[in-house]
Amino acid sequence: MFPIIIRTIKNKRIAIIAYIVSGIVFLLMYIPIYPSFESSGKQLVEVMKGYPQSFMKAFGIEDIAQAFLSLEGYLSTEHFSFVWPLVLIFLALSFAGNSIAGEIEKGTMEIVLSQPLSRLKIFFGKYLGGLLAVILFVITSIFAAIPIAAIFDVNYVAKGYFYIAILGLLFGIAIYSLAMLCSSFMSDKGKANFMTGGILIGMYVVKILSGLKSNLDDLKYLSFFYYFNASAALINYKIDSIAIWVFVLTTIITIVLGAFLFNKRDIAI
Amino acid sequence: MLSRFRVKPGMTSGGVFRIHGSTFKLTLLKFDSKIKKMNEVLSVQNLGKYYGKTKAVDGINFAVEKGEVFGFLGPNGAGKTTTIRCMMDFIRPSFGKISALGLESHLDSVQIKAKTGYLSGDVRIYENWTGHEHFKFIESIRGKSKILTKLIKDFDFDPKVKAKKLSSGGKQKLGIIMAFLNEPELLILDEPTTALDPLLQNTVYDYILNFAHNGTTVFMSSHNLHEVQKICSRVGIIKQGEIIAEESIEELRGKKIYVVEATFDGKMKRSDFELDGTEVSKESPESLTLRIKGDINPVISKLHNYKLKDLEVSHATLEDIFMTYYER
Repeated sequence: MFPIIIRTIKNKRIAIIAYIVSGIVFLLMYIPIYPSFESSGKQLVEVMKGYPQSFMKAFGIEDIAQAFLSLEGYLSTEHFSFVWPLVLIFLALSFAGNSIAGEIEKGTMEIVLSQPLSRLKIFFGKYLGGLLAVILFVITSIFAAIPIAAIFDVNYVAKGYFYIAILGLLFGIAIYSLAMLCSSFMSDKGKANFMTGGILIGMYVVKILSGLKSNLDDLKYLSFFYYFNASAALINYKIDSIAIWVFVLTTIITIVLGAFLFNKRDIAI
Repeated sequence: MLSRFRVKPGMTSGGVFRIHGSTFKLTLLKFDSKIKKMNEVLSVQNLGKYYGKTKAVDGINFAVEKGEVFGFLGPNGAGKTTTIRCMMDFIRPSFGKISALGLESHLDSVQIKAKTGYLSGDVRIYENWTGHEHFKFIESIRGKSKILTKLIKDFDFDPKVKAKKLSSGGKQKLGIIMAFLNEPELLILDEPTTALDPLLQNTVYDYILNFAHNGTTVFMSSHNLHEVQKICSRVGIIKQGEIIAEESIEELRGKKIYVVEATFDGKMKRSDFELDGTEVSKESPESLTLRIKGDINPVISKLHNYKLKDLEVSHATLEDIFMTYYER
């Protein structure tokens, strides 16, 4: 299994570096301008108080004052509520889509399948290779905020970054596992990514809709984006236990199902 | 009397054994089948693969013995690649059983693959890897190859070049080296010499024959009848998902098939030549080309009734013999 893990990472090393660099570049864009943002923060808070509460909720802003008067609040609103999850989703989809469906599409899966490795070892070798990439991205793109804030002399509270890192890992791994499930029974990378992407877009829409109408409020429980509450983790050091269960159970169910389907399927190249 | 008698594989029961009654005869049959089974490295029994209602392979049977080079022939879409994919456990049969090296192809696929070299009919490789990276990957799973340097030299392959820069022949060479790398006990090759020049084709033949000489069993599909004739000891012919013939090359060669080309001095009646075992393969108002299986005399008698301008009778080539199966 180790040769598969190592080859998966080696094959994707440039992509991994590119994703990590992009995560850090985003932080370099946001953090240095925070002091100027902070100075006009009070006025912004006053302006935004006039916005409908449901609108703010739909975009992950629960406490306007907190959102704009600390670096963590600012990052959770500007970066971790939309841009960062989006980059993470792209990474997860790209790695999962390429690792099984993409290899079948290109025909290179025959090289792997003709080696003395069980299907389960191949699946988990590829899964773990991609998982390492997800973990690397999450850790570097979150914890890089601390040295960047220090360099640009911006006040920060380190504790929140540990919480968002844990939540981000759970969220990222769940999405990656879901994408691996779709990849495990498809023979076309595009179709696998389309399926996972479709599910995630559906979840995002559901979350927005649930915030706009009170009678649709319960729909939020169907969305990963509801459970990925960046501001609660980063500002209040809180991760909802239900969120942990949802992400962990999704991960377990999708891995087991993905491994089962990959083990059972015909792979005709 | 018994002490002078030697039992060999392939012997069948005969009158000579009746001297001591039927018990002795039964013992010989058991012994014979046991030896055959012991020598069988690859065995396909009643293999079938359906995709929904579409038949790819339907109840095929054959066995390949140790050290044998078995040619698997058939027109496109006959089920050759499906059979090979089932052998390699890439796809699972709808019914039937495949065993290789005494193991079951699905349940023991890891152990079988550890001793099997495989070449795909359409070699696909990692475009961003060099040949060397491909070899390193395989060696990291299968262990260090003892013959890699020799293979690289014999196939005149540059392992430092990225796969995307290789020609189709270069990719084929890479696929062949990967299949041969660990001196397998069983070689499964799908069209091994596609895209190779005649010189390299000969190198592949030399390797295959040398492997077979050292006890490797080779199962190869091919369209190239010349190479089948050159290196295979036995062939199986598959058509529309069914094995229609399984014979040794010598048996095929020994088939009495004639090709008669007659040019008539005047008109002839085609119906005169529509005889059992005779097939009109070409026809013009004044000439006929006939392919005759078995007795040639009825055709000669019919020809005797005509005035001929020219007559040529020849034995069918191996290719003609294959074509009779393909077209059947």
